[in-house]
Amino acid sequence: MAISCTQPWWSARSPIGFLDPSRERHYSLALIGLDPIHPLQHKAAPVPTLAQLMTADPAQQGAPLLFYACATLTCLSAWAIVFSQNIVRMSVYLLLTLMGAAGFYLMLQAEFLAAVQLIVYAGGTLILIVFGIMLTNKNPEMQLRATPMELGLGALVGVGLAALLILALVHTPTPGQGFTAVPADYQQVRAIGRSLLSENLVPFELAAVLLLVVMVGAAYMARRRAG
Amino acid sequence: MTHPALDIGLTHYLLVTTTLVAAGIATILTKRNAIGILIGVELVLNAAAINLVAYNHFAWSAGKGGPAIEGVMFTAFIIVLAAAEAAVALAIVLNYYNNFSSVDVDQADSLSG
Repeated sequence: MAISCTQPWWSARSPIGFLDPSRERHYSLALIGLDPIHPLQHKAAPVPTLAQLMTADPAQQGAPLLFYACATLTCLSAWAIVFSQNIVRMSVYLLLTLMGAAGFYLMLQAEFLAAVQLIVYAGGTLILIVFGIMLTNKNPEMQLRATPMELGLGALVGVGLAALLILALVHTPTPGQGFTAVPADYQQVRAIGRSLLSENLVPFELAAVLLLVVMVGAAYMARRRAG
Repeated sequence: MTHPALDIGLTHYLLVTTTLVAAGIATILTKRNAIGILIGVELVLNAAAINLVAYNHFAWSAGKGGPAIEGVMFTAFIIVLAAAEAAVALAIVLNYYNNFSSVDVDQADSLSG
């Protein structure tokens, strides 16, 4: 999606001042279907129907509705982590976030990564976190609560950061039109394997050594010392 | 002209990951439990990984003339590093818990003068 326009209506007071009118770009108003130049004078595009939302999107695997379902799941559970005080619930919300991310990988035609995400992240890292919670929870009634001021300050920093990044994002031209469909005979797993043994051979071997070092180091550090 | 909400582009993914990274930063800042902070770090890493895959999907690899693979490779390495980081961090947390009988990071001030 890209909107061509000559002069955005707020350019005179834009905090991020580099506005190149010759480039196609995204604007926050365009994202909700309004004309970025004259949002009040122009008629917005018709509101999409449910049938349209469920039709397959050429730029991704699946329908737009799937994207919005995954986005809602990911964002809501991520912010539920911030406001949850129970560490076990936080790990469950993390699981939901990871599953949403796996859904994004599927929609972005990275099926191998979606499987790896579910197996390694949801099946390995999350289990590790749950084990850590169980091993460090001798008195369950003890709760580590952040004070309301800490919580408010943290949420403020988070929301401020999100607002700043989104502001920068909608002012940045993105290659929205550059999408080209992947050929039907393309096998991504084969490409990943080739890449691992050619261009990415050194990182691949380094990751193997790293995993060995981490395994030995974690076992050494977590052992119970005598006395 | 179709409604932009129907035309999922790179910006949509970037907006989602922006929300995700902000939630991660807020988690790191507000939690006092060491494992909670680790969960926040995982959120930030996931946001970066989704960003890389989204850019990979919407950018055609110009040099080789085939679909881009670099973002996918980078994300695979991120997943490996996140698993390694979680293992080491949990070992440290366990060690800390054995010494202090708590996972409150505010109590880890033995080195402060």
